[in-house]
Amino acid sequence: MKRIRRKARIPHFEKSLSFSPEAKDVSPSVKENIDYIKEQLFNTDDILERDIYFDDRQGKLIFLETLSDKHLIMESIIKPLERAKVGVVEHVITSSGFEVGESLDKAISWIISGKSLLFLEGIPEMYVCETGLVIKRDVREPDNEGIVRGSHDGFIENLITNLHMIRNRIENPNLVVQYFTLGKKSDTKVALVYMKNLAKEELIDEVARRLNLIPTDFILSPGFIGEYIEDDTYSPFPQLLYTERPDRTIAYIMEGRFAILSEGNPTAIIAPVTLFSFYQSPDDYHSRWMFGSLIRTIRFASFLIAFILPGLYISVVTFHPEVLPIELIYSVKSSIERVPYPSLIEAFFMELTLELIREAGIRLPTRVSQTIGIVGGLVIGDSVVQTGLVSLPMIIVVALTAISAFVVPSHELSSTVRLLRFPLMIAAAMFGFIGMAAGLFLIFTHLAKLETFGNPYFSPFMPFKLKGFKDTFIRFPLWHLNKSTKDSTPDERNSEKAILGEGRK
Amino acid sequence: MNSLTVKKALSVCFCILSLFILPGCWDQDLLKTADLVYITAFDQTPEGRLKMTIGIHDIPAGQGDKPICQTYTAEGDSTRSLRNALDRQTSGNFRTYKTRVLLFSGKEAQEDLYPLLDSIYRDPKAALDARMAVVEGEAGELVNLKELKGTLIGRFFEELLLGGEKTTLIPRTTVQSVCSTMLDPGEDFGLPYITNKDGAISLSGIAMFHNNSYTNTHLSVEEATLFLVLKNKLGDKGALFREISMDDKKVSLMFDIRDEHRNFDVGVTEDGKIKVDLQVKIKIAITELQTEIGSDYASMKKLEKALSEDLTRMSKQVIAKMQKSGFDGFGIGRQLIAHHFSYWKKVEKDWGDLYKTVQIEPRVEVETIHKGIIN
Amino acid sequence: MNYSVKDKITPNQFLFFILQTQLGVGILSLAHQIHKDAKGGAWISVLIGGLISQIMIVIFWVLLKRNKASNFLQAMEKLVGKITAKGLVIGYSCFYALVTVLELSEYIRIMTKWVFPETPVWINILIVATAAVYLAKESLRVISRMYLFVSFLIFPLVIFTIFGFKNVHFTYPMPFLEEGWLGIFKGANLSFFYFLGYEAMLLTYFAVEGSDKDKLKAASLGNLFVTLVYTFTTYVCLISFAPNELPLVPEPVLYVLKSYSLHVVERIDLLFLSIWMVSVTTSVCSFVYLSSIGVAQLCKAKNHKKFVYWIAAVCCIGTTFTLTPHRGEMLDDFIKILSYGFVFAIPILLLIISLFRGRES
Repeated sequence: MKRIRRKARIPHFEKSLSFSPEAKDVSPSVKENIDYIKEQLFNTDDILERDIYFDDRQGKLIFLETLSDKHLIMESIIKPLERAKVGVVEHVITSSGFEVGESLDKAISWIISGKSLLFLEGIPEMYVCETGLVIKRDVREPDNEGIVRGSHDGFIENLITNLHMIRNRIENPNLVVQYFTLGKKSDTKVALVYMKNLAKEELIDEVARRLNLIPTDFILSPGFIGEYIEDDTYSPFPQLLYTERPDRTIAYIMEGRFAILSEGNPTAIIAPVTLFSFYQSPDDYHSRWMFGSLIRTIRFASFLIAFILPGLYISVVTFHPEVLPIELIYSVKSSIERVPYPSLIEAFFMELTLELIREAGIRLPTRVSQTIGIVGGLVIGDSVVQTGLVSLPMIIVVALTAISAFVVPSHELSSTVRLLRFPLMIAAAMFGFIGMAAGLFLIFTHLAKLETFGNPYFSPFMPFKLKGFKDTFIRFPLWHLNKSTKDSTPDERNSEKAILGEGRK
Repeated sequence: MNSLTVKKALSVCFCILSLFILPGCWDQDLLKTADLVYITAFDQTPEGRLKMTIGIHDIPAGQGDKPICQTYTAEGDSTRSLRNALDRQTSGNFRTYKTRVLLFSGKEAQEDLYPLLDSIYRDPKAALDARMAVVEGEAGELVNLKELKGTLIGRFFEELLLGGEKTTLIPRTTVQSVCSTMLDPGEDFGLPYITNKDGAISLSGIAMFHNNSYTNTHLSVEEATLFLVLKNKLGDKGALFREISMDDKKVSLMFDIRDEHRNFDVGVTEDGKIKVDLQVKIKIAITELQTEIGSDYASMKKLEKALSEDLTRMSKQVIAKMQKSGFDGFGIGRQLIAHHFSYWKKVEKDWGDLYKTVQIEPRVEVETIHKGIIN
Repeated sequence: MNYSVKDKITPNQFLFFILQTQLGVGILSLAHQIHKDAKGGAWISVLIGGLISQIMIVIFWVLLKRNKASNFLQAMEKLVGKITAKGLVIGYSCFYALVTVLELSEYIRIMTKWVFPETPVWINILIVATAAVYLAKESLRVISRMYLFVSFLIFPLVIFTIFGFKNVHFTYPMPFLEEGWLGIFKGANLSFFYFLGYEAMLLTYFAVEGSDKDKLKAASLGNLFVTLVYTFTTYVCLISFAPNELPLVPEPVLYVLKSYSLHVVERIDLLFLSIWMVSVTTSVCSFVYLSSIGVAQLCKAKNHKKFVYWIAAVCCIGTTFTLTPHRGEMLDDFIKILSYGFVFAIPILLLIISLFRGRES
């Protein structure tokens, strides 16, 4: 946040200023206006103009053909005008968005957002019609967040459609959508969605404040927004939840959190969240609660495995081999005897190989990535042991951690877990169990002090709230959860930087 | 502000780098290079020096993963110096943290055991749950067998001893439990006694110790089981074979002791004599009954009564044997310390002699719980 | 410094702050040390030690309750005047710093023996100090949060000890009164030092929300819990080791754990040591925090962060000088005398003054 404060000192330029240095009003001469606009847009070739004759005046309709829906222009502007011949423009045009403007500076920003402008000879005004062309793909289930049962739709690149999906699910007057325009040059439309009666007012004020302070030129992805509004950029833990699922989004909104959606991206940002939010999946609520609890417990076990298993193994074979039971110690020993490298290097080698295979798998088309799987899994896995580069137990450990890391429903947290095991491995290789204990102590201390939007990140463990456990490790039957576990409600006592406190000003 | 973050990042980088550069890992103990000692045998040479034989188990890679055992022998004066001597003989690092069995020859065991074990107690990595046993004759010879009936020698002895513990043949004695008993003036310990008759290695009872050294006497297998039952140390079960006379008939039966209840009371009479009451109620399951007796209630009662008398008589024999060799296996001294401390203070000095005169009254009561699937 | 909103903690968090401050290096050697004086009655001594600390907690509580202020310094200023109050706070800060040194040197001594015989001492110190400082520089609230979390580790600690029941003789500690009540009280006197940590009340009391009664309840519960854990471990050690063996084993708890093995894991003492290391870190963190808070109050600084670094650095360097057994003992004796003063005499004196003042007005 410090960074935002710093950058916020840069004066916030008025957006229109970047287009024209001096203010200019609409002149009665159509040609003058058209020329001005063309000049401002550097005579780009996709400007179209069409002659209009209305009310006995010569007029011109101007728009960007690449951004406007020609059919719509035909239907809502040209046809009505031709038919009526005379009358008041406002009454004749049937476009959904209609405005009358006087300043030509604004004309530029309108036209590049897909609107059509109508000038009539002798009238120092322009008529602005909403004729934006919307090209959107179909609504389908996001690939990276597939579930077994439940709704199979996902957000798309169109903000309005996304908001429609949310509104459609929550038919409640308390649902509020607040628009922001971010990016000095790109003018990205961003929507903040929350429940007025559930979300804390301070929380919404705070996020609005942070959104308004974003100084960047253009917003490419929600990651941009996320990095600007999250609390601790230096933390390895994700503090905002990204999802493409409308059902997941509304579940969080109904718990009093907010969601940020942006134009041109199917990802919603949800905050404030706790670490355990990343381990919840809508699937949990679709299966019976006992099974849901079991699956969740397994997920947390996977968290621990992915986190500490490599370190544990390294510290056992380099520091405390006596911990192993006697039956195991001989087979482990005989298999690592052939490996010339210390187990830390072995582990690094294997983990990096795995990351390589993963990264390669993502970038390649599905058909090729299967080949990668075979090369990576079978060829490397087998021959690496054959040549004595890596020992068998290490392969087991690395494979287990890899699988465990991918169990996490959230991609961000999965990366965190994969990242954090490296320092733990180093600590283990240097000081064995004691090093691991110290490393874990540091990580948990970090978690203890981490807060997102004034909410403790590691709740309900830190601070400890017994009630909070109803929906973390186990999933209680839903009627138990009805008194929703509102960890998004900032509790003065437990949040370190109470939002209105001295934390950020 | 900006320079501060750069500094922060730099210092983090420095820390990570220094971790790699630092000659770290001072106390590494690599499993790779360890030679794991499985079994150690202590002998005494004719000149009275200590002889140590160790068996190292290993699964060498690439030989069909068949485990092998290598043995090394050294002579010297103390356990620790011998360890160093043996370390020079072995190829890897000599590691004792997985030692499972310690064998002592009868001759060596007659010396004080504590100095032998001292180096184990001092080592933070030593295995304190290794089992111990006394061997008739040379212990090193047994280790040098390397393999016995397809099992590596260390594994063989470990299984032998663990099995014996389960069937109440021998007490559960680990290096640590022996230590407590050694340092306690009120109790003696017994170790498993192993005999080697022309290559047939078997458990043959309990070697009795007094004042940390072997008394050169031992309890036989049957006596050992009864001793353990009297000590309330029944394992999973204990099997006994008895021949009793009942109605002028000889009845021989084999039974498992399934459960026991002991009442152990050490008292001091007014004239300063120690009186020990030792009542044991056992529940047995008959596994073999060669002679035909009635299956009615009365004859079963009769059998139980006869068996009780027989076992009581046998207990007396066992106790007499123990007292003769001064082996206070029940910890009568311990009871005196706990409950009659002032009396103990008086007799502490000549407890060893006094123990031999203590009047111990054992009584065994038998209850049959079942007799198998036929009557 | 005054306690801002973010420094306020709940009585629950206060409980665990006291608990984790008390639970430190002592647990490993407690049975051995007390057994020297009290023999089989050592566990009674520990119980009495817990009782004494309970009495002291009540005394602290009455003292603090009668002198309400926004922090310890101000409370003392009201009671004994500005200069004396400042002297007191300086005294306590130094005392806490010295206790930090003692904890660290005790930790190093045990670690060097059990796990790191060859690792340079300063690295060992650095491991603990880094972890402790990273936490101590945070607000009291974050520290207490973390303490509550790591308190879960006490359960495995106790469960591991329960496993030790495999090979025990209940007659070993008997007769309990071998050394008479005199011995037991001697032991209790010694065990008093193992309970130190509740004096953290002095500097943190005013940061706790809730009524005075709640605060007393919290501190007492923390102390009760520590007393139970200590008594339990002491008793397990007493029944696991012959009376003549215990004097030979300076860290009996570890020795008990070392001597048996579970089927999955062997050498449970190593796991125990790792958990114990966390408990030591929290104790060190507490004392560094308390010491720096004292200094911060004196300097009227906004927060205690920078003092934490300095005090921790001084303590770490100080520790390296105390590592020979002779110096270690000297420090130990010195701190024992100091504790009588700071934990026993001074609070009682202050209470008497406070009672007199109360009567005057």
